[in-house]
Amino acid sequence: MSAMNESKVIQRILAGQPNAYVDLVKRYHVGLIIHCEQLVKDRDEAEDIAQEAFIRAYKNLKKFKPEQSRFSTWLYKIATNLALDYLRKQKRHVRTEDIELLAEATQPAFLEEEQKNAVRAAVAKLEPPEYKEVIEAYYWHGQSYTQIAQIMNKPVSTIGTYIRRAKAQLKGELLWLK
Amino acid sequence: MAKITVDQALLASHDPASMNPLFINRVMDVVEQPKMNTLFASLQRMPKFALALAVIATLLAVSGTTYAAYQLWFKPNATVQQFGQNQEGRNEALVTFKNCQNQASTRYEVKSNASLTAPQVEQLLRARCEMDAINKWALSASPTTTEAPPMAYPGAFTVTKIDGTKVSLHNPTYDTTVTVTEKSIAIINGVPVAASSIKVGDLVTYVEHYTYNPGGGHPTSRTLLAIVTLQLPAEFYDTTMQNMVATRKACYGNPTESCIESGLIDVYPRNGENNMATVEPGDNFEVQGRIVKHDGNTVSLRASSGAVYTFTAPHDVIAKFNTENSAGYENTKIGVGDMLMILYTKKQGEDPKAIQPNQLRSVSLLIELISKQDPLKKY
Repeated sequence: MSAMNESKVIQRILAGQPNAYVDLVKRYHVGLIIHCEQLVKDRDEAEDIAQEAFIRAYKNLKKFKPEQSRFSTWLYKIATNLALDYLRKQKRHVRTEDIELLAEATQPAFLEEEQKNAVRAAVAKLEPPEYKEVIEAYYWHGQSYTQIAQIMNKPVSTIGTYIRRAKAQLKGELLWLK
Repeated sequence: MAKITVDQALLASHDPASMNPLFINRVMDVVEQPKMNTLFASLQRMPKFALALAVIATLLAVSGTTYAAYQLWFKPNATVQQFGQNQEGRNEALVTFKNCQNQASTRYEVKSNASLTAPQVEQLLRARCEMDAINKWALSASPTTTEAPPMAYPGAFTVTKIDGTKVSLHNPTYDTTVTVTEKSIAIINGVPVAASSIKVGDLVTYVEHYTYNPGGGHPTSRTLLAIVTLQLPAEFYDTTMQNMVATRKACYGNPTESCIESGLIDVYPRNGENNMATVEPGDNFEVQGRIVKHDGNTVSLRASSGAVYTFTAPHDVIAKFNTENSAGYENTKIGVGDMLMILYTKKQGEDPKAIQPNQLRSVSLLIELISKQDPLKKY
């Protein structure tokens, strides 16, 4: 989805087609759950917060000002505030100075179709093949480290290691990435 | 243009078919219920005869497929994907949900003194989802002035008598009568209808709104918001039955370990002990494990993954409990083989498996708890 398409999706929703919202949920849900999990350190809570953020964003879509920010920035801000409220209720601290950077890091980029294809091809070539499995499961199927560990019958720490190593391989392959 | 990170590129490059459908459905189920609250608010404001006319008109006007737009909630579903013994030798179910907003986990453990089959676990969790849906609706339908959010009574009742506006309800532990007002509605299969649609023999729960004096105390008035028909046999809504299944989740801070939601007895701190000032700030951790070694102040626990966690308390907390507190708990003594839960703090990079006295927030003994009347039994 391009930024222009996203703007059209929002216009369709505001024109009375709520089912168009599924395009935004599909695009952002995995990254938003990861962002919330980084804040609250609990996958189930993170999914609940991300869900609530999508619902609040939908209900307040008329207030969204596309000229001021991207939809994802606005959505992530809603989720961040919900996560901070949750942490306050739990009497837990969080370092707020890094939150915007964390949020930015988990927002999907707007890529050209050929760039997406290059990423998919690089993922398909990852070695050993377990790296491909974990990348697909985590970033594309929206599974948690714990779920992937259960499916692959590996310790959760191994999944983290696989993802780190796979990302290093991808950076070597796709030189336009940071 | 700023460079794109690997994470941002991966998140943008998913195949449109590869998604987390459960999550997407949960969001879209809410989004695609058009103006549910507005509809309900207008129904609430209508006199009863007008409501009845509106419902009849709605039923006449809409087709079967668009009728779903008037659902206040959709029928929840829970499906057991796997059922078998876990590392504790207890039955555990891996469950997926549909139309269930508040499921706490995907893993549910059947308590050792309960015997439930996989289909029973499914029914029980569906009932839990249904009550959650009713309570969520109740919250959205509550008058803004309410001091306490309205909630469904936790249990199923049979309608035994309808006498004008009085509806008599029977449950094995509690009989009550509720009064229908012009603000009350019935909800059948998630659809709002006139309160007069309820009949003797229906299995229901009810939602009331209470008002209180500013100082608190007992409610000064109760107003019936809704009588809601229930979809499953009565026993699955019973709180004792509901307590037969416990959530098993990743332990907080230790995601490789699993922690069961269980009854707890405080072991440390207690009897006026205050460790708030001495516990070092840091990230919070939780772990549960069976005692494999107890040597004075130092205790080792084997957690679900098989890893051993060792904590050292400021004093021998187990000996102290066994001598000073045991009598208050049917002479329960703690020893090797018993399951403890510990909460502690750690700074980044510190070994989470070695806990020092100034990192230990609390120690608790896990117990089985289905009903408060049950004799005390260690987990």
